[in-house]
This record gives sequence, structure tokens and C-alpha cells, in this order.
Amino acid sequence: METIESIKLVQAVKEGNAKAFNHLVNNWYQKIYNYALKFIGDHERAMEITQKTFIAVHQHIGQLKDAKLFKSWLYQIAINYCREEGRKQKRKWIFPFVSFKQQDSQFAEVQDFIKTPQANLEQEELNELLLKALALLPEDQRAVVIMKEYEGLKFREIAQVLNVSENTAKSRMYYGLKHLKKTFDEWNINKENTYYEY
Amino acid sequence: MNTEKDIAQLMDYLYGEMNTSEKAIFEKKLAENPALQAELDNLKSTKQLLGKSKEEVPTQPLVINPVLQVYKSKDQYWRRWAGVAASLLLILLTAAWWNLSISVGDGSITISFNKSQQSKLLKEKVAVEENLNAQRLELNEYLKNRVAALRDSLDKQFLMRKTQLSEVSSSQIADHNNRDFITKEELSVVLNSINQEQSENIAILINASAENQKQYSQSLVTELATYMEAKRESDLELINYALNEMQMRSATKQEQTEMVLAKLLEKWENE
Repeated sequence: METIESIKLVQAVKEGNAKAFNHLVNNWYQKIYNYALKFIGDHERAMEITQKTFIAVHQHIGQLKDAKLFKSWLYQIAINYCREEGRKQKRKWIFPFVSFKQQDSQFAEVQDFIKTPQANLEQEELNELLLKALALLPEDQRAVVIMKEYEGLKFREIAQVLNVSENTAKSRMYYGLKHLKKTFDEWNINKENTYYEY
Repeated sequence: MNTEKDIAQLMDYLYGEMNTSEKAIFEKKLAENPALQAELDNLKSTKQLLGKSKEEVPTQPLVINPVLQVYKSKDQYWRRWAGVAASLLLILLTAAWWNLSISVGDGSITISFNKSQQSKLLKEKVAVEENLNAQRLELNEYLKNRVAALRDSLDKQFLMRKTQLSEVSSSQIADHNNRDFITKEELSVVLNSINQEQSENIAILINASAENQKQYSQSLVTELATYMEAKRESDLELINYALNEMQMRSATKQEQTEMVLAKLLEKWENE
């Protein structure tokens, strides 16, 4: 639910208030960065997507008719840039995670981990593996999983962002979790070897 | 195999999007359905693993303002070039309005304003020349008539003298009849008298012609000088007007640019 303050802030940005825009960026940029990072799996490109997203916000916020819809509008922009980046990477044939199983060096790390199930994962390693697992999800499922799990959007909001029904959003979340479960099992990642409590 | 409804309920339950009554009904359903419960447990464990990913804090600040300023700069850049284009257009329109003409030839560059004015002046020049030619023809006609008149006068005088001479001759013949001849002195006096009159007439004619020629030349020079002065005055007025116009437009443009810059500075300071 949008707060009155956040609606007023968006309204001020729409009216061209530069300070309000800086405030808005401060409120949202970490979230958008994390969304992009989890979607793309690369810090530099995530920063680039975040930057592009806020530039687009600055340029097109006048077109946003209802300030209450800012959150879903913002995520729509970010997702579009993430998808565009994904397409670029596929064209370049260097998308690192889609061909993960064929990437010897990266896969070797996981292979090593599988061979030593007693090993405990450090936080950084776990983060990296989770990003790789997310990257293996189909884009539609990945978008929903990140928005739900990390951004805390309601299914209604996710449906609004992706312009799908709520049941479709729930279904994508469900199959995304099943897919991840399968991946975690393959990589022998479970509660026991992820003792680190976040 | 879970139905779409089961999936929706599992997700709502897992993420706490059920109200109290829905939750109670679903928990009862879970208790009666171990497979559904196992499914929920698997989803929960996966969710827990996902939850272990910490939120990353960007290691570098988002460089958004300079980028936006670049966009602004692009806007300013566009505005500046639009201003230049508008100024050029203005100059071209002014040039077209004043018929600015630049020509290169014979190792020199000629810049002139208002060709139509020039053509008007040219027409005036032609008219003046035609007028001068007409006056010259008129003068020639006058001189010709004067010469003809003088010739007539001379002829008349000659006839008169001849008659007088005849009369004198007749009387002298009569005398000659008495004397039988005309003396050489008498004949010489008559001839000298005729020559002297003729010389005076020719001198008068030449003087009159020279005087007319002189007057005509003076009037020609005066008219040409007047015409050249008028043309120079007209050209200077045109150039002066064009320069004043361009200066006024430049001042307006500068004022507008200063206002835009002031607004931008104010906006930048507010930011």
C-alpha cells in the first residue's frame, strides 16, 4: 500500500521538484539495484539498469497518470530494462548462467561443493549460488520470485506490474520455487549446510 | 497433482496473504492432506533458502544527477543550436528581405543590399541618360537651326551686298560710261567689306557654339554628380537601417539567452 507521503513525493516529482526526485531515488534505488542484480546476476550491469530506470523515471514521470501506481510503474520499467539486458546477453552468446551447466569453470565450483556435502557455505558463496540458481529460472518465473521474495510485493501488485492475472502470478511463483528446489537439491544446498543465519 | 486453486492457496498461505477464515479453512485442508502438507514444507524450505540471500548494498552511489545534467546539457545544446539556427534563418530572411547580394569576381568581393532598389536606381540612371540625350539632341537641333538661320542671314546679306554692288556697278558703269572703267581700289574696298562681315558672322557663330557646348557639359557634370550623391545617400541609408535592425535583433536575442541562463542557474541552484 502506498503511503500518503510517498504519493505526495511522486506528485512533487511530477511537478518538476528536483529535491523530491533525489529523495525518490534515495528511497528506491537500492531496491531496484537488488532487483536488477538478482535478475541479471552482475553488479555493473545491475547498476547500469538502475541508472537507466531512474533516467526513464525522470523523463517520463509526467506520463504517470496516478501517483498511487508509481511502485508498479517503477518495477515495470526496471523489468523491461532487465529483459532487454537479458536479450542483449543472449545475442552476445555470453549469458553466463543460462549455459551454466556447460560452463566448466563455474560448474566445477558447484561440482566441488556437491562432492563435499559437509562443507558449510559462507554468506558470500551462498549469495553467489542463489544468484546462479535464480539465473537458471525462466524469465517470467524469475521476475515473480524476485518481486515476491525480495521486494515483498503482494501478488496483486506483481500481477499489476506484469499485466497478468493474480493466479498467473501465483502459478509462476509456485513453479519458480519448485524449479529452485530442484536446483538446490542438485547442488546439495540445504538447511544443514547453510548454517549462516541472515 | 495440485490444481490451480491449490497452487493459489499454497502461495497465499506461504506468503501470508490469507485472511483469518481462509487460513483456518486451508490449515484444515492441510491436516487432511499429507501430500499437500509435504508440498508446503518443500516450498517453505526453498523459501527459507532464498531468504538467506542478503540484500546487497550498492558499493558505489548511483550517479544519476550528472547523467540528468547531461540530458539537460543536451537540451541546452539543442536550445543553443536552435538559437544559432534561428539567428541564421533571421539573417537569411533579412538578407532576402534586403536582397543581400554577394558576388566574387575580378579578384574582389562585392556585397550589396537591395537589388531591387539598385535596379530602380539603374532605371533612374537610364532615364537621366535618356533625358540628357534628348537635351543633347535638342541642343544639336537648336544649333543646326541657328547655323541655318545664320546661313540664311549671310545669304541675304550677300544678296543685298550683291544688289548694292550691282547698283554700285550700274552707277559705276554709268560713271564708266562716263569714265569707261571701275578702279581697283573701289573693287578692293567692296570685297574687303564683304570679307570682314563674313568673318564677324563666323566668329559670332563659333563663340555661340562654344558657349552652348560649355553650358551643356557643365549641366551634364552637375546632374551626374547629383545623381551619384543621391545614390550614395540611398545606399548609406539602407546599410544603416540594416545594421540597426541586426543590432536590435542581436540585443533581443542576447536578452532572451540571458533570461534562459538565469532560469537554468536558478534551477541548478535549487537542485
